[in-house]
Parts: sequence; C-alpha cells; structure tokens
Amino acid sequence: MGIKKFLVILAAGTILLVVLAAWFLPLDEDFRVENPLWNGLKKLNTSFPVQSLESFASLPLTSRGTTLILVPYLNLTSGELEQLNSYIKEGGRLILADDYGHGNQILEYLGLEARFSGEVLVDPLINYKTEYFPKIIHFKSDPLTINMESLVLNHATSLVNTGDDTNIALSSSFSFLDRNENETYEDDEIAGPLPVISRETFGDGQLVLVADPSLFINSMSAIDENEGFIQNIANTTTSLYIDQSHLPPSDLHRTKTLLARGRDHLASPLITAGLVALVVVTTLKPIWYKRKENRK
Amino acid sequence: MKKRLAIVLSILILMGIIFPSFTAFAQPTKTPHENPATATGSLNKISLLLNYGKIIFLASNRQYSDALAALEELRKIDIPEEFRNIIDRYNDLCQQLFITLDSLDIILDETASLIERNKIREARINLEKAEVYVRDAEIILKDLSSAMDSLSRSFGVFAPSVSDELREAYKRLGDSMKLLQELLNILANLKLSLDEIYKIYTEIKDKKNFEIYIEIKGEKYIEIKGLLPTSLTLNISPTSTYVGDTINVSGLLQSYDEPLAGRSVSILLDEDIIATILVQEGGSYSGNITVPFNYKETMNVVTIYEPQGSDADKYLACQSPEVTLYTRFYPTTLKLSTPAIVYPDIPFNIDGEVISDANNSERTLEVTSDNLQIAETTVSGKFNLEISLPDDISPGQRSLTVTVTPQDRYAGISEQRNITVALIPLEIDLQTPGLIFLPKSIQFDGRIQSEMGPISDANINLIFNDISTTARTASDGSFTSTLDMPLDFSFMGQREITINIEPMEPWAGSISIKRQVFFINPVFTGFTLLAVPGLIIIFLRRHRTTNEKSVPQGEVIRFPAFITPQVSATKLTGVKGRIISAYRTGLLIIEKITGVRMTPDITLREFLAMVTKLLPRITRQLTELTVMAESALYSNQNPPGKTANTAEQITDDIKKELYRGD
Repeated sequence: MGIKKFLVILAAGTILLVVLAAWFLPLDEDFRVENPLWNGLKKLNTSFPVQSLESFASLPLTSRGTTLILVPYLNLTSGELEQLNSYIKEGGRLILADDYGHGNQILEYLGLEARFSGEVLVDPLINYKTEYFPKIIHFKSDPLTINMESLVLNHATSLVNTGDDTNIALSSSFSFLDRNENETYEDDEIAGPLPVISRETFGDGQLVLVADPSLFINSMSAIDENEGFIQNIANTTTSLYIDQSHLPPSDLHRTKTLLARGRDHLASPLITAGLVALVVVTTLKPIWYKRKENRK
Repeated sequence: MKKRLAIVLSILILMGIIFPSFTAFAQPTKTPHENPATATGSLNKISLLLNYGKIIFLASNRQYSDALAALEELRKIDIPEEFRNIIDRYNDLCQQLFITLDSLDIILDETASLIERNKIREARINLEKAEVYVRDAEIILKDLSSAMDSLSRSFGVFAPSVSDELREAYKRLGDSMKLLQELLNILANLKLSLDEIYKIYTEIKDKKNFEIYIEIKGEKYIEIKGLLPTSLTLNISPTSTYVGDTINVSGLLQSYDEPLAGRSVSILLDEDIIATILVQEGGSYSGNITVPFNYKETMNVVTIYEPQGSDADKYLACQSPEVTLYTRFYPTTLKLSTPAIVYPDIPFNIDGEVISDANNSERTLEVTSDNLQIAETTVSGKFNLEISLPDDISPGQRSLTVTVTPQDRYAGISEQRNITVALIPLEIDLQTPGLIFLPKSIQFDGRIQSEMGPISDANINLIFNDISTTARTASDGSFTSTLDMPLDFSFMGQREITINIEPMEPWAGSISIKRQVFFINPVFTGFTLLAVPGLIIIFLRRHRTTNEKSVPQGEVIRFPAFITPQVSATKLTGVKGRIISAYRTGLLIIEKITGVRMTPDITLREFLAMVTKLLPRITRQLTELTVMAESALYSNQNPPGKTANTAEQITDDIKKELYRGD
C-alpha cells in the first residue's frame, strides 16, 4: 500500500472514530433534557409532558395556563427579557430556577425587589448526606406544596427581599448562608429559616422563584418529595415548557447538534436516494469493469 | 525511510484530528451541584452540640416556644443508628423540660396577678400546681444532665483524638445548661416568695394598712398594698328566656357597707363581657341585656368590679356569685342525601329536609366544599338542590358541608359529608396502522367519547420520536391527524407513538396512550441488501488477491500476461484435449481431498493458490499442470505431443503423492 493511500485511510478512520464517539457518547451537560446522567433532565423530560425550547420563539402564542421552567445560566438579551415579560403578564407562569446564574437580571428587568442571594445555603443538621444538600421542611399551604413534607436541594442559594406572604418554602432554622464558605456558622452570616421558593402574581401570570435548579435533575428527583414538587407543577399547568437556550453549550453539544443537523439533511429523501445510488454504483463498479474486460 | 516517514505522518495526522477533538468532549465548568449518589457525609456533631446549646439558651431566656420549635426541627435530622437512642432521649427530655418550665412560668405569673387582685383561693390552687412543676423540672433537669454525659461519651468529646471545636461546642452546651439551671432556681425562688406572700397576706388582720412586694432584678414583680375589699350582688330577671330576648340584670356594689356609686360594673355571659353598667346612688346597678343567639340551654351570668384610676389604690376587685340563665330556642334537624362521587363542573343533586317547626319556615341553606362556598339558597322543609363544583377543583377526597344558618330563635345546624371528586374516564377508539413504510404520511383516525357522550374540541397531540402533530376533535368526538414520518437511517422494527389527549371539559382528565407500530424503511433496507453482498464480493476478491500474492517466492511461476477467469466452453481434442483431461483428473482428486470446489468464477490460478495452501507438497506439480492447462486452453499454438504425456505423468504423480498415506 502506498504511503498516500495509507495516510488517507488513517485520517478517514480517525475522523470516523471521532464522529462515532461524539455521536454515541452520552451528553453530560447540566440541565440538558437529552442528558440521562445524574446532572441531566432526561427523567423530567420522560416522566412529565415537557416540551423543551431551543429558543423563546417557540413559546406558545397564548401563554395563559402554561408554565415555563427557565434555568438562566446565560445572560438574556433585551428582546428575550421583553418576551418573558409579556409571557408572564399575559397569564403564563415562569418558574425561574437559579442559584448562581443570571436570575437576578430577569428580576431586575421585571422591576421586582426579590433576588437570588447568590451565596451558598448550607444546613449542617437538616440535610441529606451533607450540609450542601439542605432539606427544606417548612412549607406554606400552596398548590405547589400539596403533600410536601421535605424537599432536598443541592448546593442551593436562598431568596432575598421576598415578601412573607409569597414565600412558600423555607429552610430549617439551623441553615445559614455560608458567606466565607468555611462550612461553619459565623455571627455575621444570615441564619435560617431562609426562603427558597416563592410565588407571586405578576400581571395576569405568576412568577415562581426556586433557589436551586438542581431540584429538577435526574439524580435529585427520587430524593424525598422532589418529584412531588415537579408533579405539583405539572398538575397546575396546561403545558409545561423547559428552556434549553440559556444553558452554556459545550463543544460536545455543538458537535452533536452539528451531526444531528447533518443526519437530518442526509435523511431527506433526495439525499438518501442519491446516497443509495452512489453506494450501488460503487458496489457494482468492479463487476461492471470485469464484464467490460471480458467482452474485450 | 518510507516506513519512518509513514510513522511520523501517521502521528501528525492522529494528533491533528484527535487533539482538536478533545475539546469536543470538554464540558463547561460544572454548575454548583454534586452527584447525590456519590456524596458522603456524617452527623455534624459540632453543629448539633452548638445548636443544642442555642436551643437551651433560648429556653433559659424564657423563649420556650422558639426553643420548642427549634427542637421539633432537630427531630428531622437523619441520625445514624448508633446515636439515635441517645439523641432521641435528649430531645424528649429537652421538650419535657421546656414545657414544664413554660407552664411553671405562666402559672407563677398568673398566681402573682391573682394575689394582686385579691383572688386568694385561686392563687392557692395555682401555687400547689407550681409546686408540682418545680419538682418535675428539677427531676427532668437532672435526667438531662445525665443524658448530656451519655451524649458526650457517644460523641467521644473527651477522647484525645477529638477536635478542639467539638470540645468547645460541648462546653457551650454545658454553659447553656447552667443558665437553664439558674432559670429553674429563679422560678423556684419566685414560687417560694409567692408562697410567703400568700401566707403573710392571709395572716394580716388589718387589710387596709400594709404593703408587701417581691423584687426581681431590681423591679417589682408583685406589689400588694392594704386595699379595701369590695362585694357585688347579682339578680337576673327572668331566669329563663328565649335567645334574642331581653333580661334585667341588677345588684349592689359595696365596700364595708359603703355603696360605691359612680363605678362601672361589667356583665359577663359565659366569660364574655357583653355590657357595662354604671352604679347608681345607693350602690345599686340595673340594666337590660339581650341574650345572644348562642343556642345553648344554659348560660352563666356574672358581674365584676375592677377598680379604675384612683380607686385602684383604694379598693380591691370583686366578682358577684354566678347565676344560671336558662335559655330556650327551636332546634333544627337536617336530613341529607349526597352522591358519593361527583365530577368537576357537572351538576349533581343534594336531597334533604330541614325540620325546625311545624310551619316549615323558610331557612337559608349554605353549601361549602373545603371552605369554598358552592351555593346559598332558601329552602322550606324538603329540598332538592342542584349544584356543581368549580371547574378547577382538583380530583380527590373533598368535604361537602351543608349548613342551615341560624335564624332568630331557630338554631342552625351543619352536616359534613365526604365526597370523591373524580374525572370521567375517556374511551378512545384509535386506528393506528400495524405496519408503516418509511417515509410516509400516516393518517390516524380516532374517536373520543365518555359516558357523557362524544368529547368535542379536545386537543390531540401525536408524538413520534421528535415529530409531533396536533389536531382537535370534531363535535362527534372524531379526529383525523396526519404524521409525516421522514426517511431516516433505520431499517425496520417496533416504534412507539404517543398520543396525548387534553379535553376541554374540566370533568374529563387528560390522557396519554402509547401504541406500538412496526415500521420498515424500504430504501435503507434495500440499500443494505444491495450493499452487503457487494461488499462481501469485494472482500472475497481482495482476500483471493492477497492469497495469490502470498505464494512462496521459490514456487512462483511466470504466468501468461493475461488469463481470463472463464474456462472456454469449446470442446478441445488432440493434445490439448489430453492435457485438459489430465488436468480435470487431477482437479477431481484435489477437490475430493481438499473439499475446495472449482466454481465457474474461480480462475485456474486462483484455484492453484487456494489448494497449494492446503497441499503444499504438490505445489510444484500442480503449478506445472495448471500452466499446461492454461496454455492448452488459451494458446493458439498446438503443444507438442509429449506435453500431453508429461501432463498425464504429473497427474499420476499428484495422485500418488496425495494417496501416499502419510
């Protein structure tokens, strides 16, 4: 085999290997509905009638009665902020689940006082395994907290400037905001109970603030009544949407999207027919040549 | 040199392709959460001891309810089995102690207030209760100290390897316990002081001229001065009446036979103040009060005098004896019949009868469900009420309360029934094709109905992989929807189609059904069926070529430049015929021994290469024979006669060689 041929085969083989790996390797990005691993939302996507959105343009024309779960790990454009504003004001329910992302940008735009504190909520006593999994045990009567006894959060934060009448879930009195992240309560740190879920009306719609988006991930849904909370959300909405357009895309995600697009193009009848013809021709070429030679 | 160059270039290509691809697998910085399955943790002993210290500190500051609430939260800790008993015991003891101290605190305050108001008899009862609380608290506190010791042993507080933070936390808990002990001592001393005051007060003959008090931390906790006792008498008329009617209340307010005119006397009905009357000249008071609509058979009437202003430094408070007022009213009976299962927004009937008097007076009926008013109407005697629950009520067990409101002399009545709010199940008749050829637009026809009839305007959502389509049902419940199934790279198999149905009617629940369909992708399947044999042929040909090339160098025979793979169909005679005959004889023997068949697509050389691998000992003879056969087949020249002899001789040699038996 000539060196040129060898290098071409080697390059082609390696590219094929990388493409196959990128295609079959499960996506392990946070909060992705395609991600079946512990940090994905595949379980949410399969257990509930959730429609994932790759853009706010896919939001329903009539928002009344619908719910949008938004994990804002990327900044929103002014156009998107206005779309959200209209979505809620016209009767939609926005579940803004954030801990260390850009949730406050949305709250500021909506002109609300409430904020995500952005500091780590720890509970050294009422927790699941470690202080970074605080158990939420105080609930106020609300359609979203029906039959709730405890929720478990995962590296959460807390809400600030929310009204007492809007807070529907609070952490235990042993919890605190670990400002200096030394896992020990200091006198200047804010102690619990701290609000972690609030619900308030906004225009004709509602705004639900959840101080930890990890509540929805695959590995958290089976813990305590986390799934019950999601069930309560699903029970009180006509359609449930989850935004995927404000999650930081990884190269793997981009590669997969690119490959998926390529597959979609290839799967179109015209291209498939062309491919079939090409393969048939390539396969039969040696036989055709041999016959031609025989005739000679 | 070429090899080295190939290796270097290979490495460069691999680096160029794989290394940039590594970024494809690199993930963004993880958002702050961790996998709960791999997280490990243990009981935070330091935090537990510190928080026990805080809770006990709260209790020692008399913030009993806050301390109890925090203790209740502590019960939700996931405690390791090894510490469960001691922590549960510690929590129980803390809870008992806080409740006891709270009760003791309250009763001592009450006692002080009673003594101040000259209610000596009540004060005595309270002091006896306080005595019990003090004893209980002392016992519990001792138990708590023992439990604290056990806790320290379980946590290994004094072990040499333990951290200073744990020792410090335990020390703080000990400090809080000391504060709690101090509080108990204060309360016990207060109780003793109240005992002493009570004793002194009962022994004083001249109640007009004395002053005693207790100080706590420099402030007067209780102060009793020599005050003039007062007395109240009470008469009511009539002593029996209907609710809503008026009665007269009268009596006399005096102090040592001196009438206390101009003071106010409060009238209490069952401990509720309902009127205040001014005392007239001569100390008498009189006034009319309306008997409230309480629909009870008896009520207790009492009047009290509480000195106001300067009177507070001169007179003691007093209370009249209790007088019983017998009240009358018309009782109401409610007979009720409700359905066990109801549906949102669908009317249902409540049958019943309100019986209050012979005339079947009109009464107001109110229906509520879980504190939400459903209906209000006026009924007389038997009734049949059609009501419906709100359309947004969620399914489940609900309470339905029917209340006949009280009306003048007629008492009210309320009956509560449990009802089940359910959704009516939908019946779906859906035709899905059993077999689908991709790509294709598939039409789904169906009909949705319930026991209430066809479901119209329901939203139908069909989902197949990433494709979905929506439709709405017509007035007869039927719907038709088309799903465009695209061509893809799949061959055939079972796939799931999900159909979500969302009816508009609140009494019908949403439903999701799944159907399996078998699909075939003829294009891709055909492509594969075509491609696979072709690939096999190519593979086999390449394999053969490789075999040809692998003939040992010493055995290589020069072949004619071009040999067609096809054996000529022309019948050969003479020398050529003999050579071919000899070749065929040898061929038959070799085929029999090796099992390798000379099929029409195999050339003589390919056959030679195949069998010489298996029978290397006849390589030379067979190669020679093959060359002769090829020459006989394809050469235009007639070979000499001895060639045929040689061929036959070679065939014999091959035969002998193969049947030699070794």
